[in-house]
Amino acid sequence: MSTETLNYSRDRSALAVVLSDFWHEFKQNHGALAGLVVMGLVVLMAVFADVIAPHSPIEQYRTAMLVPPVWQDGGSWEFILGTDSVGRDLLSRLIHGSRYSLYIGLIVIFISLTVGVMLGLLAAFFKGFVENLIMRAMDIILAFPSLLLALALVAILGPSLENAMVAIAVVLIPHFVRITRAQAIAELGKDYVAASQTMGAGVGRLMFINVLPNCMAPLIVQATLSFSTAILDAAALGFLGMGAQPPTPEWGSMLAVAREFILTASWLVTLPGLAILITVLSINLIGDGLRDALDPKMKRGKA
Amino acid sequence: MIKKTLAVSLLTGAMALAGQAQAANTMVYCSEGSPEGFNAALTTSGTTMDASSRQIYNRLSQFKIGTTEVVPGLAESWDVSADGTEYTFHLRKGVDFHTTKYFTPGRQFTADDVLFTFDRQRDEKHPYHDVNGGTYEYFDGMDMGSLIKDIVKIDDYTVKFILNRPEAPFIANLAMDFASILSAEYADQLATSGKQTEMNWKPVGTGPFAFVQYKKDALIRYKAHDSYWGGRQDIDNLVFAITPDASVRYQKVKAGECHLMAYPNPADLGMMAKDSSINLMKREGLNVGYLGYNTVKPPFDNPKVRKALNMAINKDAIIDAVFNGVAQVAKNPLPPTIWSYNDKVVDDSYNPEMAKKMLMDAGVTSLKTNVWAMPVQRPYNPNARRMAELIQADWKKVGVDAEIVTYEWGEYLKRSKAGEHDSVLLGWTGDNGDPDNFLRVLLGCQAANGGANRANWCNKEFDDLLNKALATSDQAERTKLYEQAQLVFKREAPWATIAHSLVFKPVRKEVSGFKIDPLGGHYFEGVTLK
Amino acid sequence: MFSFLIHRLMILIPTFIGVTLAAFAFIRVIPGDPILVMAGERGITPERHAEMMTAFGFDKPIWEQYFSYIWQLLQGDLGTSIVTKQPVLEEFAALFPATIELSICALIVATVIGIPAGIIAAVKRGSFFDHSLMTLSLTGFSMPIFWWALLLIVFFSGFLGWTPVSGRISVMFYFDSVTGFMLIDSWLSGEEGAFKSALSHLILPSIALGTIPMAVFARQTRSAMLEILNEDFIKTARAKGLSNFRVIVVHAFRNALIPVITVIGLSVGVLLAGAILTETIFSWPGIGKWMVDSIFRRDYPVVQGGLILIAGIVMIINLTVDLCYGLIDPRIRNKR
Repeated sequence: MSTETLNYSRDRSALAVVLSDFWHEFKQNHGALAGLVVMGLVVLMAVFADVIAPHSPIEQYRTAMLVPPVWQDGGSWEFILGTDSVGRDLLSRLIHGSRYSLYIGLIVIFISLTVGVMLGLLAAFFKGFVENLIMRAMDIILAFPSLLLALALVAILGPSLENAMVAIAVVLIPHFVRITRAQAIAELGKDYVAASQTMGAGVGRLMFINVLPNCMAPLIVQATLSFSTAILDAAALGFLGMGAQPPTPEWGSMLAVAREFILTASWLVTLPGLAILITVLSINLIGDGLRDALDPKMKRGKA
Repeated sequence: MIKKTLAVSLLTGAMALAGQAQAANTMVYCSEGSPEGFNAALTTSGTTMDASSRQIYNRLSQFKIGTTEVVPGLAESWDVSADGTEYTFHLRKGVDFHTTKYFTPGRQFTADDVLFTFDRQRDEKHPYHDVNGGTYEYFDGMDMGSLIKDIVKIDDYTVKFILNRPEAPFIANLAMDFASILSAEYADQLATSGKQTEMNWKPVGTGPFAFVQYKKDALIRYKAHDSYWGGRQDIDNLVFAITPDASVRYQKVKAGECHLMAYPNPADLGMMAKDSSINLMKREGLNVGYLGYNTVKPPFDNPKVRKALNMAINKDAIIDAVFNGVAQVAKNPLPPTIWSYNDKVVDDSYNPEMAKKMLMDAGVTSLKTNVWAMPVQRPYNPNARRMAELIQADWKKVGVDAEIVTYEWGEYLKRSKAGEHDSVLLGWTGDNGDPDNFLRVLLGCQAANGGANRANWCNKEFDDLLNKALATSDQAERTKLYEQAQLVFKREAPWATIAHSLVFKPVRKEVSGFKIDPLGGHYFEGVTLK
Repeated sequence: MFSFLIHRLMILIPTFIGVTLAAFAFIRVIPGDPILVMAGERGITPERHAEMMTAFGFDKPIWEQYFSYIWQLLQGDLGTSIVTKQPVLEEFAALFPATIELSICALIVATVIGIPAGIIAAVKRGSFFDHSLMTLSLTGFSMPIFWWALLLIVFFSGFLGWTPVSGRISVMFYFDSVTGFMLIDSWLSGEEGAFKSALSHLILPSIALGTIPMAVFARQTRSAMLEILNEDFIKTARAKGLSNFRVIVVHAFRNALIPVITVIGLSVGVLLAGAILTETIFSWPGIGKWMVDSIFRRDYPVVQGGLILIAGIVMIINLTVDLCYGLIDPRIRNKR
């Protein structure tokens, strides 16, 4: 079992073996590789948005409102993907939008991963009241449909990108808690933990040095999946007017604003949606590849 | 393969239905939302009024459909005392209430119904006062409670309203939706069975259409009132298909699923105009969208600064980007369709250079300020956020840095009322076609500091003119006073007047007799289908 | 089994109390004054404002509001909508069938397409079909459904004109609602074309809402089948010379069913979340749209009552799935 393999992770050369093993598995998955390439491009686009984008994402060209993309009648090379209702260049807005999507994904994962792992470890180590309290709180969060809960949270906090991220992070926390707790409880039953306990290792050491590294595999997979969920949910909130506020070039809120032009300027609707789909799809492809490479069960299935 | 044929047959079924939807004498109107109930006195929402007062009920005086002219309704005539404080109404005889599944009227319309309607709203001890929430926003908002001293039934067909002070627009006020006449007999019957709340959900009126059925978020059904005093309608059935999304409404009109739709997307108007099955009707709206400066906050207390900022705004660009080119630049706080509109007023021209200079002269440099953008769509401002973005960009050119601020609607109203803004985007749609309903409500001293006067502008000269006009019932005299007031307004510039929107109604060609209501309502009385 | 049920209920009750507390707390900390929202541009006098605060009970201490709320809740009273002045429970009951109908149809779309596709992909592992199906299902899983729904409308309703644009049935049909389910009601009404109309209105929303579950089912079925197909007893069955079809459908699929059913059960929460977007776009008069509208209108009692009802339903469904699971597989119920 590969969990056994992962136990050697404290040994440097063993780590290298694990990584190269992993890469070997991962690169056999063509979909995952394609996802990685696309994602790489999105990241590059986000990092160099200022350089790549032909125009400023918020500059209004009053003489060029609702110009169609270059391949349609009336399009021009100046605005390759056309302009929106106040004359802003769509291509530049999409390029800058990638920043927001990545930013949303990263922040959400950071919040929900840290909080989730902490709570999960606490629940695993302190059985009884603390565990019950944490797990019931997670049950409460899970009892609400995620988008509804996020929507209600944003309504309280006020509609903005930051609040939307907080709300989505809260909704995603229970998954991390459950995974961490289950994994940690399994680890705690193992001999090596008992051994280090008898050698006098403190709870903190046990938690972070012994147990946590062995929970990493499923957490990484979950984090990847949550990354795509975060982008989708943020877009949905933006679409409902509860996420990023215009003129922020966030893809979901661009869609919301474009909705009234669905019949007359369809490029304003199709392109941001496509951007969301492609990004989310490539992250999910990567997540699939990670799971196949990290999950021993799937490995056997593949053999 | 089997699946495919099934799908095809289903789809052809749908197409056949679309054809059937045009069957004669059922008129389908694609409305924008669910009503809050069927009693217009309890609401300020136009959606609710469309669904209730405008089809089911009548009022003592009424607006002639398609105009703001006040004509007799359930009152055939009225007399006003010399001092303007006593109004005697002579009621129409032989008016039948609707006979429905849930109510069979035992008598015709009388003075008792008038008393019930108004006493319910003004008397807190009235058994019906608190039913259905007991909030009479219009009645309270128009200050009717303190205006009306007493209402006396002289006989079954004569009612006298005694006022505490003369009020020139009183008859127009009674033509408003909140004054729709309910059935006292029906109310009594509900009270006996303890079902008072049903009054709001199973309405009974005297109007052209009787209520049949309501399904929340789906539809409302009406049938023609056979013994309507104004004559039985040509349409047998009237259906409101509730469709909140504007593009979807248009799709439905195109497909023949609806004959008429509310509030089209400005962006779709071009396509509608080209559509051969649709007659795109248009008329000026009785509204104004404006940017109100907080005139008690420096530097906005200086009219020169306000004037300069006005001159920096490119209103034509706003009309293009926000209204898709289909609105009229506003120069007065009154829309041009209202009487006493002063066409001699000259608008501040768009001149950034001059504006810059004027700001400099006023000692205002590197001003940091804010523009508040409302979060909701209104005819007078279909996209406040976009409008604010344009103003922001314009002001930037004259060296003014504006931040766009928005809150959710309740918070927005509350904070702007408290005067937290520097400038705020808002607007107004007329209620009764009287200039007083714009000028005094929005710019009078009484409404400053916590009322609807968000500019907090109180100018004695302006206010005196308005008060003088309110006390005279001679329209020519009033016109002169209001014209003068508009000159004062323009000189002092408490607002940047932005636009009066045009109102568009896409109507299928089969429909005739529909008139666009300048007050924003939808009336189906007198409409026929080919 | 009984102790398993008791155990689950012991967890459920405090969770449900937590849900009511959360829903209640949510609404109280929302900024924005509902009474001002109602008054709109016209504003309201301070006296009238105070009066209405009292009428709605917003002026009482918060704990008092909570306890009186719980007290009413226990009596089946979830409060009254500020906007429509209708009891929340009544509104919910009137709209819920629409959501169930849509969800069931979406589930049917998802199951009928997703599960066979998953089986075929597993059997033909590594084939072109398998690869394309996995890519497609992942695409479906990654779909922003609000966008997908818009595209469906533009193409099928706008461009081709095949399906109606929105609503549950053509407004030309008029019959009383018996069950609240339009398909059944239209059938019962006996009006010609009514059933067809109801069905045609369901097509696009069901596809939009069913897309994500469909992708999930296909993937789940495939991986469950892959696992089972590797088991010895399948190899034995094959060795015994049973037909391939029989092996796959009777032996393998039956065993793969448990994880698949679980996924179907658990997708109810996903469906309700998806219903929020789907219903908003297709103006489907269900509870998803109702909740969104109420959140935007600051209709406190509706948001609060709706959150509790929806959470309650999700919890009951999850419990049912758990119990079924426990019935099928005794190992689960013994595992704490």
